[in-house]
Amino acid sequence: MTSFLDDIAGIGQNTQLALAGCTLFGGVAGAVGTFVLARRRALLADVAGHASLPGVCVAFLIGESLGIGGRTPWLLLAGAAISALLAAWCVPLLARLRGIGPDGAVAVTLSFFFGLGTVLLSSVQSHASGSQGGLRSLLFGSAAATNRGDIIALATLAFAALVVLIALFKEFSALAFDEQHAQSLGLPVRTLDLVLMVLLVATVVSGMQVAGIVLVVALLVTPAAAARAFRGSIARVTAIGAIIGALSAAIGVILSLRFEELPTGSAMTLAATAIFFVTLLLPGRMMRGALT
Amino acid sequence: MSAAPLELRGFSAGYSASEIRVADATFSLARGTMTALVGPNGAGKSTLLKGILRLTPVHDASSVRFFGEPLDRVRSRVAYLPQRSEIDWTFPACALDVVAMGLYRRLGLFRRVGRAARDEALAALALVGLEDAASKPIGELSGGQRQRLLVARALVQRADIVLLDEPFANVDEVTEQAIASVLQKLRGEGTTILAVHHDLGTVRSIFEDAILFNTRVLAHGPARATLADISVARAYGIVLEQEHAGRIS
Repeated sequence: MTSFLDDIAGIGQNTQLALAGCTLFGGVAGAVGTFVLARRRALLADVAGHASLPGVCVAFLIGESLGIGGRTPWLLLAGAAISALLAAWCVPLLARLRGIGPDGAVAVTLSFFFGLGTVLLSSVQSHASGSQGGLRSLLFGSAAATNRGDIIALATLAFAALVVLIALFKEFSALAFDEQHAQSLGLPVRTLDLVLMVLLVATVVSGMQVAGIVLVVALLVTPAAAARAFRGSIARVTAIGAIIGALSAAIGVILSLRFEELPTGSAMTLAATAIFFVTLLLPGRMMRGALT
Repeated sequence: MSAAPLELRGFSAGYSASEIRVADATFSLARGTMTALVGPNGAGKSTLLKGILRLTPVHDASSVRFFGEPLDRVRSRVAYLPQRSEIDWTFPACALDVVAMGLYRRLGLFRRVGRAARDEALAALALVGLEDAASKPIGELSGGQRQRLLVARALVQRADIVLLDEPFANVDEVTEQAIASVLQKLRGEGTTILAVHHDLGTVRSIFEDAILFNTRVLAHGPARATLADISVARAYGIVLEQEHAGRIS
């Protein structure tokens, strides 16, 4: 235990920065997740995660061909966001086709984008800096493979998402609880839904390098699901989701730094799930649900 | 003379041209009246309410006027109370959160719910007898309490016309009394009320006017006379007996 604490105390400045950035991401994901869950968008978060892969790869190849370097953080985030948004846009379109349905649309979109991404990834790996720079660690995340620029980019994006969430908190609450009433109030529900979607993608994309595109959905959904065990106002439950998300991310980073073979995203996911299971023991949790 | 709080002229609504749920509805409501919208299951009563509020596709929005104006210009004067069953009651909120939502439009974008808004929401909760439930999670409220909560949310909007979808559906007697007296108090203050109601037994005791509706407006007038009309049988047809059986069970 002592050596473990020494590890944390003795970590370098860059690692401390990574820990802080990941904790911020985890907190924002936990808070955004409250509304993602309430709007039944959990699977869309999974689509956004997987679908960011082809965008990242294309952005990498563009960066290489322009000579500015494939691992330019903002370029990768932009590429990821574009392909994730494109996929999120495809889902409702496909769902409208006869005989597919929302779950079929999610499965078709997710697997197509991820399949395309893995093909592109093999092309990226042929560039020396692709493997050196840690694009391979994108799947399950690696805090160790990030550099200062990556962390600053992820923290900025996560912080921007947090600001939007706080600014529109009551509007998102009205939308998530009772869309028809929100619309009758004259709130711009379509625009709000779109902003929430962009927020979801921004959160997913900000965390993709550390949580991994395959598992980033867990940081949006599991802490928010765990927070549902607590009673109270919307603000309180959202804040608890944020705390659980931040805690899960921090534990994940620390564990993955301690055990080098452990991918950061996997450790974050296991930490979040462990907290989720603990919340199942809280009184009243198992009886929750609509009893109308 | 001021314009009617709600006026429909040849109003039609439905998801597509082939699926018209409301056809050619024409009626107007006077200020300070309380009207029940009565008709069999599937008559399009909810669609009529949603169409009036533009929550569902309508064929000609200009056929609806609130106070002589289109809805967008008078939204703050109109309140809507959807069916309780259409809401996700597992949403992590307390009762006070939900009532405060009625104030969101008045507060405006980006503004937070402050002390004054909280006090107003608490006062509305007290009016429906839920003053002790303010911090209670909505998932823990009974069906009747949930219905009163939605009424409180409509109350804080301080609207001049309130449209309610089945406010008395599956509620206990205490709730029925509480909601009826709150609505009658509002009516006394000049608010216009239109509520979808399916229980023919209580229409006359709660409402003064009634609209008999089955895709079309079949009759509109004082509740007693309207419901005694032969058109009740025409609206309900053979469904009437089944409706009664369904309500008792």
